[in-house]
Amino acid sequence: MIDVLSGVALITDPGTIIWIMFGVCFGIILGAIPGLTATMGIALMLPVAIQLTTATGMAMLLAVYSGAIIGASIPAILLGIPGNPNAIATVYDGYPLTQQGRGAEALIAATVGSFVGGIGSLLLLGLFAPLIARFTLRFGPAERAALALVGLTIIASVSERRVAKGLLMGAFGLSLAFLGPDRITQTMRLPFPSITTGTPLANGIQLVPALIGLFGISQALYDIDRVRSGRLTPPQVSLRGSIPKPRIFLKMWRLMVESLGIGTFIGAIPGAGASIAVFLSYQRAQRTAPANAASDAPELGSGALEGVVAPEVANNACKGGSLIPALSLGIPGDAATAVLLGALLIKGVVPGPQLFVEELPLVYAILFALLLANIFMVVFQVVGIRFFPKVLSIPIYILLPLILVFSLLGSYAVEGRAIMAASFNMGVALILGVVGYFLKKHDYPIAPIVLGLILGDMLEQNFRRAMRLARGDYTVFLRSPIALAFILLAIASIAYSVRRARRAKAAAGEDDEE
Amino acid sequence: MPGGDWDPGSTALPVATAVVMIACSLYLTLKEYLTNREREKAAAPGDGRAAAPQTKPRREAPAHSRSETAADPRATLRLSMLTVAVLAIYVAGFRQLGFVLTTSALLFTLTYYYQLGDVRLRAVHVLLRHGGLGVLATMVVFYLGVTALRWSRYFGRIWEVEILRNRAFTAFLGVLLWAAVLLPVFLYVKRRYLDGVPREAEQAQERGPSEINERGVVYRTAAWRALMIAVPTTLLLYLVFQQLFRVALPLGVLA
Repeated sequence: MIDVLSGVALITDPGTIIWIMFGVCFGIILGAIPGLTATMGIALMLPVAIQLTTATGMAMLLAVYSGAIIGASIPAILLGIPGNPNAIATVYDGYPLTQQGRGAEALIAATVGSFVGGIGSLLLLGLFAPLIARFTLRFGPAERAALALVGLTIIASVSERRVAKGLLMGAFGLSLAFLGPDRITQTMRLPFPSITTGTPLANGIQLVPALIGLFGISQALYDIDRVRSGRLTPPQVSLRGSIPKPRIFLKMWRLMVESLGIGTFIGAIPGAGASIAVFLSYQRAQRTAPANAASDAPELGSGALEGVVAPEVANNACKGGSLIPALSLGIPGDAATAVLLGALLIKGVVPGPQLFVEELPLVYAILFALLLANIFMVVFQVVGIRFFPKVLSIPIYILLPLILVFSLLGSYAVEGRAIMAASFNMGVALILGVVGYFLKKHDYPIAPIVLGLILGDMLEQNFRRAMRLARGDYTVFLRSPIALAFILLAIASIAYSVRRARRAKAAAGEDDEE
Repeated sequence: MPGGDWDPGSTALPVATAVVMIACSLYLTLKEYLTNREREKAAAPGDGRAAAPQTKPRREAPAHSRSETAADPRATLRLSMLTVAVLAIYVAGFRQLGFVLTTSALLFTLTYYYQLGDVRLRAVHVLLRHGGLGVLATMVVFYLGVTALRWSRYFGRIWEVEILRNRAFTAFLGVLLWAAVLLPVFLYVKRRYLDGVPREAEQAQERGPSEINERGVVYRTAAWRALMIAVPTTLLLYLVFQQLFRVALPLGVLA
């Protein structure tokens, strides 16, 4: 109980509440702009979070995450353009509702769905994460190394149909993580140590500039071709007489519970991604909506509120779901959670069982911050229902320079007062930004690089520790049932991804022939 | 051996990673080569379908957009190259030239060219003239603000007024002061140079930023807009990073 109260006290400080409110607002605005993702928002805000206390910084980042998810539904509903791929299913019914002059109704429905998904998954996160964390207390170095391997095989699944490219990028991320001195023997690993010693490169590259470069700068460079497009003109939205009655949502309780389950479960599977969850929940809605018949729309796809609520519940439930493996195992569920995990690591907090033993107030603070973020999300979305759509008309030629400058200054700010190292960080961010841009242009996935960067240290430390304890016996990974199970899971994960990629390719080939 | 006799060593995993990278690269190269060969075979004479130029179906302009200018890949390439070059100069000159000068110049250049939608040599003179003015304005207003903040802290110490020494409060004061100086200037600029833009230039802008007006009205409009974004943003970033987060932003030549 003391831990709960300590956690709540960490968040109820006025400064933290203001940062949460700021985070939600920033997230909604960022998410509303097509092309700008939650991951990018979290990466951009990382340098700010580092300057704050751990609880306040994490609360702010979680608020950005929550805000960006609901923000993506604004262009999906009002313009028919999803703010990010996870809001695609919201377009199907949200945009027809706007065309019928019921845009505000759709936005309110999306807000209610997001709130239900966010709070529901938060409860499940609070329930399951400690259980999983307690189980991981049995893990030794061999099991942890095997777990990191499982985390790395997510690369295959996050890369969709590009398994080889994903593996290549994952290995590239690992090689970036291995730069700098070996942490066990303190020997330099870079070639030409006489040249690199004394330069910031000798210490390797830091996570924050790498994340900012890969997600912030590369995306801004990628979006340059959009500066030539004209402004978007969202329709006028007014709340007057358009708030759906609560009983409409109460009638959808079953659909909401199902979408919540789908979202949390899929979100908890590392690498599965919210885009699968939103379509599964939408499909579920297609089956159940005619029976519920909560709105006037005859069927989904032509402007039914169920078609907005179901994907939004699932999308937000993924957020809580993806935090389950992240907090309990240290394995990120998706790219956004990977960046959040990076923020924790930078603050010296190691996710996993120790987090639930040594930093329990922080865990409760994270849960409470998510709760507050969800509440503020509803408040701001309703209050700002007329204001936030206006964000869509901000010209991209103003946004891109701001993102670029903020990215570079953010990477600089990580080192705070060490000007030399800080300038080096700016260079790292810029180089990785340009690299990320070319990789994106040539259809190479970026998320595996981040996974490699984050899990590289965990894999190496535990692998070497396990080998030393087992006196060089490699079968230690096969003798431990847990490690063996993880290795088999890793193999199965890659095999499944390869099979899925082949099937998709075959299907695409058939389509071409037709 | 510091890691013990059973330690695989610091090179074990980097080497394994390199092997994976080489294997994946070889696989991708081979796959690309085979795909190209198949394409070439398919494009052999006699196969009309394969030999026909591959054209993607044109995407219809989305209903939501008022005006969507067709993307010109060469203009995008020029803008991308300019962006990377300007960013590289920014990173290289950040310590020597200082935060205020480099940031205002970077923001001005990017906002200016992004509005034009292309890198045009004809627009350079406006860039230099207005950019110089923007950097100068930023430096003057910056000095004004920083001096006021120093005095505020000084009096806070002398009179023992705690709030005058509080960084958040002084940052807030800075915002107020800079807003008081810049707002009237911006309102004047808006009335004089932006609201007064001839109708044809406005229409050209509505059609898309690439529709450059020969008389340079669009250049000047873009430059004033860029100036109005670059100056306050630089000052605001200074307050956030230096005043609130205590990040040591270099003053460079201004020092």
